[in-house]
Amino acid sequence: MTKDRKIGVAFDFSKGSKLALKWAIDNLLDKGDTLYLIHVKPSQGDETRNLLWSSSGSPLIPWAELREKEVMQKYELDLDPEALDMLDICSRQKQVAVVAKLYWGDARDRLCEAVGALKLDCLVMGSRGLGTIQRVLLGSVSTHVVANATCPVTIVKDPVAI
Amino acid sequence: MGKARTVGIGMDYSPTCISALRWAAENLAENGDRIILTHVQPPRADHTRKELFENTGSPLVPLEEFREINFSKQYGLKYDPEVLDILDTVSRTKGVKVVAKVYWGDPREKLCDAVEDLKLDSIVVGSRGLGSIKRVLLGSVSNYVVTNASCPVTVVKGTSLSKP
Repeated sequence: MTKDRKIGVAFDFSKGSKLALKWAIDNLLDKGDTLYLIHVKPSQGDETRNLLWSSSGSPLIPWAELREKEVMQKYELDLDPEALDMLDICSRQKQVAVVAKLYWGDARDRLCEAVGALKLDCLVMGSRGLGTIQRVLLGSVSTHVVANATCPVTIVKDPVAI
Repeated sequence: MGKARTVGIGMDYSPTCISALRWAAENLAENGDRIILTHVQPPRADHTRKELFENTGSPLVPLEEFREINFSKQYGLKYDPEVLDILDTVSRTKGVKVVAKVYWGDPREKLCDAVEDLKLDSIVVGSRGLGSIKRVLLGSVSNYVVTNASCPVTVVKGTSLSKP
């Protein structure tokens, strides 16, 4: 039952975003869909790569390329073995195309822009990221994206928050 | 593809709610899953069924019973053919069990309670209900549920850019 949907998962390496990735893989993604792993880095400024891609983000990086250690280091991504595993299984067993895209800037704005730019059918994210205020139930980025994104947004709760 | 899930849909018959139902039916529900159409009626309402079920909410009503006009009247629900159509289709083509439940009280709290009560694996709500402030992007109930529910919450916007 191929639906060819584009499902984005916002990823910042927090536990919440890993749970979001797992939820999306277990519940939403089906054969034929495309998983867009979206990561927003804070604006750093002077790398030439950043200058080129500061407005539209990096090009789409296919999973086969991204999972190589050198590539991950180049983009300063630190996917832990569990996440790597999930993405591997997703791409192989479920036959889902996995691509990653990096943006630089404020996560709130970039994620909402990404929905439009990538024409995402829906977005999945964690409820709290790496922010310092641990008792907040719903982080500022999640709150902003839920209200402003033009596609359905699923927030997966961080179990620690409950 | 894994265990059967129970998906709750917060329903007040507003346009974004119906989009939410449609989204859930098309994207989330699979064969063997169960959709619970969760209604929350205002606490001061005067429906015949209310006294019986005020505290715990109505029993789970299967689709065949729920689609009767009588049922809607007894619980004070809007009889909406579009909603029934979506539910019918999903139940037939995808083999999804559809039931409805009615609570009385504040939608914010009751929807979050429902997550625990009904052991929902996830809940889908519209972004805005029937409230009068139309320019608000995210209604107060949706906002509350996203923040407080203990399961994953999906908020579906009214003007969905879904593929034709």
